[in-house]
Amino acid sequence: MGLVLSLGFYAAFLFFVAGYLARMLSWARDAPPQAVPERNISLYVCLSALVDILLLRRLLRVNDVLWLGEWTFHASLVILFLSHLKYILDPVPAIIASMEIPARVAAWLLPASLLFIGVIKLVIEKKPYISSYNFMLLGLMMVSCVSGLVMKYSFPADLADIKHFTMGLVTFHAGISPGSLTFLFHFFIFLVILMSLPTHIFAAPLTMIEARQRDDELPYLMHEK
Amino acid sequence: MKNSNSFTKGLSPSQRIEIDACTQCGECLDCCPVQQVTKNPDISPPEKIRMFREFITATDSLKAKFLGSKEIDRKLLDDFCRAVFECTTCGACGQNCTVGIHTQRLWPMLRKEMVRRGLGPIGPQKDMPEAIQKTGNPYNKPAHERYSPWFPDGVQVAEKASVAYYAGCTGAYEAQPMVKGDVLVLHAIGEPFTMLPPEDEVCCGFPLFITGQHDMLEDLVNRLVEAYRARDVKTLVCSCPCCVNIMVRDWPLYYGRELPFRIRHITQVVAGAFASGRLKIERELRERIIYHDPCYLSRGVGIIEEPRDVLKNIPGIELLEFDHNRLDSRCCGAGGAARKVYHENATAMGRLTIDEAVRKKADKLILSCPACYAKVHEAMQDHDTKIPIVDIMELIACLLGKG
Repeated sequence: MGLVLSLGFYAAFLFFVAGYLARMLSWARDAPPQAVPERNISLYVCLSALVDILLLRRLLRVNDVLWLGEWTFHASLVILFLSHLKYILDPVPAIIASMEIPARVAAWLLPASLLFIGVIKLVIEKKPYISSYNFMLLGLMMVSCVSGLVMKYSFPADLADIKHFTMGLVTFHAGISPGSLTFLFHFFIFLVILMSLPTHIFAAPLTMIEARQRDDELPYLMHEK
Repeated sequence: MKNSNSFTKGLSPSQRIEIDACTQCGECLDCCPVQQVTKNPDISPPEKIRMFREFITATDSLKAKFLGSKEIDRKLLDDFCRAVFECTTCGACGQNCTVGIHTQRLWPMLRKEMVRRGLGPIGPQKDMPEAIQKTGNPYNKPAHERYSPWFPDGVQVAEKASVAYYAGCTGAYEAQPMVKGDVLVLHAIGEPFTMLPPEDEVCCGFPLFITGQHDMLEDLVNRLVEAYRARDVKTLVCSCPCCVNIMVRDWPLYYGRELPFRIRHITQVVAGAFASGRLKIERELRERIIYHDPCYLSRGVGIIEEPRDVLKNIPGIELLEFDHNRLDSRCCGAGGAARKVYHENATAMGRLTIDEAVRKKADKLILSCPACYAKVHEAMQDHDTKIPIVDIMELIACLLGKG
């Protein structure tokens, strides 16, 4: 079982990495000449873009209610991602170890924000355009959150077994899989999510930097600086 | 290895990233004018991107590279083509995009890809290249009638001057009070200006660019730039936002280097003339007027305050604003060369503009785009709400006692 899970992990990881590398290579391949020459990005643009990305500022400008849910979702996801690094790092860095309490809060905020987003889009605002792919992904996230919470509070798994198994994954020494069914389910959902991650997770920050640069330049397109 | 079947061939790296960056959140539908009048999410911005991604997956993905390109469903191609050509390319979706996709530039490039595949353009848009080849304008009107029906008596055009005025095809043939107003106001400023002979003032290329038909662009741009250069032009003035947009953003690419003159929108020149005292309006106009920002002028090239500065020089006026103004302006329906193809959509959008102006109790609706001028006038026919529609320079010329 441990070997099967390990192979599943490597396959999903390879699928994720290869897919993204191919996408990134395709961004630059055989590009036609451009009207606007290559530009230098100023420190101001970099910092503003960073704020745009970290605060999802463009979303805040168009829909502050949805922003609340989306920002909470993304922030919780980042916290949980970072805190989960403790399973693949040995020794665990102090900064990761110190995320225990924020991660406990994020573990509840994440499903709550997903529910909030769903209610806003489907019930309150009744959005005319709903991406079935996004909703499938949000559904998977919800299942992953719930299985994580169940594992934490109802059917605790042996954390030492899990750490042993996950360390085996990253050191290419396939170990025995933990016996907890909840863990197996949680891990399986993680693999499915890994293979289904949307292309925007890497592309959107780049587009936001470009947009910030464009916004900065627009007033000077037909006016002298 | 080059993939001739690739759907991303004509897209810049930034645009390829933009296609991947769309989160499909659907927030842009709230500001899309086509959505407002059609309520059809199948032609919405995120759906266009979703469909285009399917094309990329079928032809450019890792799987396609190893296993060969997949045949693309013809219906999906047709659906995409309709969606991308029904768009007014106003760019409101990009302005409200949660990740900042520059849609005003992206949609024309996706149209170009459809044209490359023989699926676009649509309807009368197909006739534009031949009409421009024959007459110099996309309306297939005689070149010798470009200026004669509207050019005001008593206005002298210099053979050579540092300032040149480009009337543009839509103004010259479809919004003549507008271009007449431009010339009268330039004349009132008193600085000599030149114009090309009607046969030489050919299309700026925008209608071809926006409909994805790029083959003739290099030739048109070179003809125009060289003609102005021969007249020692240092500033090219134009009132059409679409012309100004392509001149500023794309002419340098097709010309192959920096232009030998700068481009100015007429409101920049006129606002400057008011500021320096070369123009002054004495006549009072006790009216409430509302100004509509053309998408390709405000979002397109950032000309936002100058039209307002010009209008504020009219004694007695009260300047109103649309709910969606400046960078958030709402399309009047004329954009994207869709007004003559998807006539009903364009009329409905034009009527939304008229209705809001009337609801705000404006005495006049002020425009500064020939396509808006033609379309909103057309939309008012058989409409139960009426308002006087005036071009900004038409109004200024009239108040200067020149109209």
